[in-house]
Amino acid sequence: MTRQLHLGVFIYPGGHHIAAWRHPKMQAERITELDYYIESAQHAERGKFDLFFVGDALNAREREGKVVGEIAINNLDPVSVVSAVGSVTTHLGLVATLSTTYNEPASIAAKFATLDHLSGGRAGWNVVTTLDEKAALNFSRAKAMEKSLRYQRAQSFVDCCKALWDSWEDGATAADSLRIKAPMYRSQYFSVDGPLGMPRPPQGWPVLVQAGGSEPGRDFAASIGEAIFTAQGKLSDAQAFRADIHARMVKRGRSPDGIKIMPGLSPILGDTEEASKRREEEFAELAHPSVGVWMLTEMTKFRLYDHPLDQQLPTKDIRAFNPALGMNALSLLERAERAPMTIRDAARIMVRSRVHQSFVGTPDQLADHMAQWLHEGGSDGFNILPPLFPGELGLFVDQVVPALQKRGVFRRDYTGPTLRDHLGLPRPPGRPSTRT
Amino acid sequence: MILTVSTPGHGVHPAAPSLAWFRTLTRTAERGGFDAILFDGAWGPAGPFTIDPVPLIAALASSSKQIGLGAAIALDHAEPFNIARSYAAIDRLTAGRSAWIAAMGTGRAADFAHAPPMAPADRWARAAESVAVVRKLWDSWEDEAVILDKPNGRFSNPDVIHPINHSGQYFSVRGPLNAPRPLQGNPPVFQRDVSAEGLALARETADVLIAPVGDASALAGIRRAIGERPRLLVRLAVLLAETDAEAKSRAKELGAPLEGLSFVGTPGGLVTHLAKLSTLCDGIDLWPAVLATDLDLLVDQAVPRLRATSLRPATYRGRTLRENLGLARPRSQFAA
Repeated sequence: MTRQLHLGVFIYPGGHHIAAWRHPKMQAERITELDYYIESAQHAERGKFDLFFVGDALNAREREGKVVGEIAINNLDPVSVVSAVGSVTTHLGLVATLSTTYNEPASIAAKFATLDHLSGGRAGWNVVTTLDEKAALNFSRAKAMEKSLRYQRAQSFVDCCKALWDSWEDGATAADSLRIKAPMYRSQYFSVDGPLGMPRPPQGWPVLVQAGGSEPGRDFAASIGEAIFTAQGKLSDAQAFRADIHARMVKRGRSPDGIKIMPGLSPILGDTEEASKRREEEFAELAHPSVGVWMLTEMTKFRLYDHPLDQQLPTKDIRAFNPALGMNALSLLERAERAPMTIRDAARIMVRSRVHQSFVGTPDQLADHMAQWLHEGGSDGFNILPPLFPGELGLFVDQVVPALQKRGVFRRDYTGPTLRDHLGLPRPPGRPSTRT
Repeated sequence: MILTVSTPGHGVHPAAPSLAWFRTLTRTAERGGFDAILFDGAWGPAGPFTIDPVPLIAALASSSKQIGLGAAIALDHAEPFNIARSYAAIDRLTAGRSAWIAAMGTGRAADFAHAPPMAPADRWARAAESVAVVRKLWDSWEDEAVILDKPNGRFSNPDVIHPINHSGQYFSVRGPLNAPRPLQGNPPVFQRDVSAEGLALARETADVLIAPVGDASALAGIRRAIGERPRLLVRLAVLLAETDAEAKSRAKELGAPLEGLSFVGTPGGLVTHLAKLSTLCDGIDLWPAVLATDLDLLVDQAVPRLRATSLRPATYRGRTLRENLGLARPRSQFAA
């Protein structure tokens, strides 16, 4: 059989378009309600998706010390959301993000073990180290931990969780005290005796997901990752990224088969190319100009709030203020220097831009595009970021999934009950049995 | 009279945590009109077998409609921001039916041995501060913060979302929370410690204190210690049978005596006993001795008799757990 795509859906309050909550079809008052999440999860399961994914943030998005009022909230607590939708689905994988920087390994090992038991082996953990400096201020820290230390702690955190998950032999129950062994985990970060308070999770360990493309992030993925969520805009970059991760895995003695790389993809669909472009335009028009100005200021660190919208983008001032601009900021400034660009124009570009790849076109065009990335080694699947929930996810399931199935690159039904089954990942063996 | 039910109890439990099993318990308790079912994470017959009850109550949100769902998060090693964020989600997902059992300690100190050791007095002071920080975070979005003004592009009103700028002895937390206020304002905070320190903590921070006492005469002193504000429930282990003799023989079969205050007898006898107890406190937290057996007996035999008295309503009266407990919904402490 040809290689198959793996599909995740990345849920978000409203949708992945920054102004999704304003869309006429969006019942914005629903985005903190159970049914909103259930409806999306049921679409995903109907579409035979591998997994349902919830991202995390540990601080509010702010402008000058106040919450940005023009955008919707961050995701609700990820474990709570996936656990709630897990009880109304039977196959869909449930991937929740949790930070190793602001949690305790014994608590998190128990949390994911519980989720894996309650869901019958569908849990996944997106292991993050929390980038945002402002999060530290919510956790009694003056500043964020330095990046390489964050990853060292994360490695130890995951090692400790694995030791806890393996503390019960497979099949051991509470009555088999001789088959339950406290791992007595010790590292420079943690001193955890264990054992886990419950039998080994059905999947052995939840599926370990990594997201983040920095050097230490890639090494961490190569060390512990079984799936990667990544932002890749171009096929050639995606191929290079995938090859790089595989090489790092081989260096560590891991088989590249043990990881599924799933770039983010935000689809805007239409029956014709023109229709899809019109819909893209419709979304972009929903964004309040001040959202784009906020995004510009966040990106450049240069304060633009008091500048009139129809003034030219002050590229010289921005360059002088911040000599360490990132790639996206530089490319925008260069564009503004080639042809006149007002702050309003720049703001419009910002609200159209995505960290993740967006695709505007017909369902067949999108299916071809996805199949091409699969066949040419750009990815093992995609994490889908619909601009609007639940409707645009429903559209993807109704129109793109059948097109993928017709091309022979996506399952027509689940072949097993666990997330590891869907992703084709082996179950970690655990400790050898001492049963006599 | 408030009526809650706690797990786990003696008897046969599934070999591994099973959603179907917890769902059955919850639906049975809801059928009996209990105000809340409380999970501290213990699922096994005895010993250190614990799950995380927080994802459990999230999973139970869709399997129940009216009963309150309580889960324990121990104060010792949890960050207030994480606690506030979990309950901000769960209280919305359960449409205002969540409760936080703010427990002292996990009983698993050796899993947190890397944390700096803490003097007992510090543990209690830190616990009080962490509940206070959680409440501040819940209150950081006033009730009117989410406005959903589509024409003007205003999702929320930043003027009524407040950094909490908490700087205390144990925590410094800037806030605000990145989630709207829980539906109940503050999900009710339950506590269960009746030591002198525990009562002081309850007086300061609890909405409900469940008192595990050996003798009901202790309740008057506890009430004095915690003041008028928290609801006071007494924990009662219950073992039922058709006749007193049968109940006694079932109790004998258990092998271990029931802990603390207990009732062994008939459903009719229990109703009389509860009526008497309820004059000493605001309600009862029942511990079915053998979950599978005694919870069913409670619901099918005792509850209808209770409902025939004026002690329990025939149906849920409130929409949220707070309403069913008779607790007013608090205004945000940041509201002008």
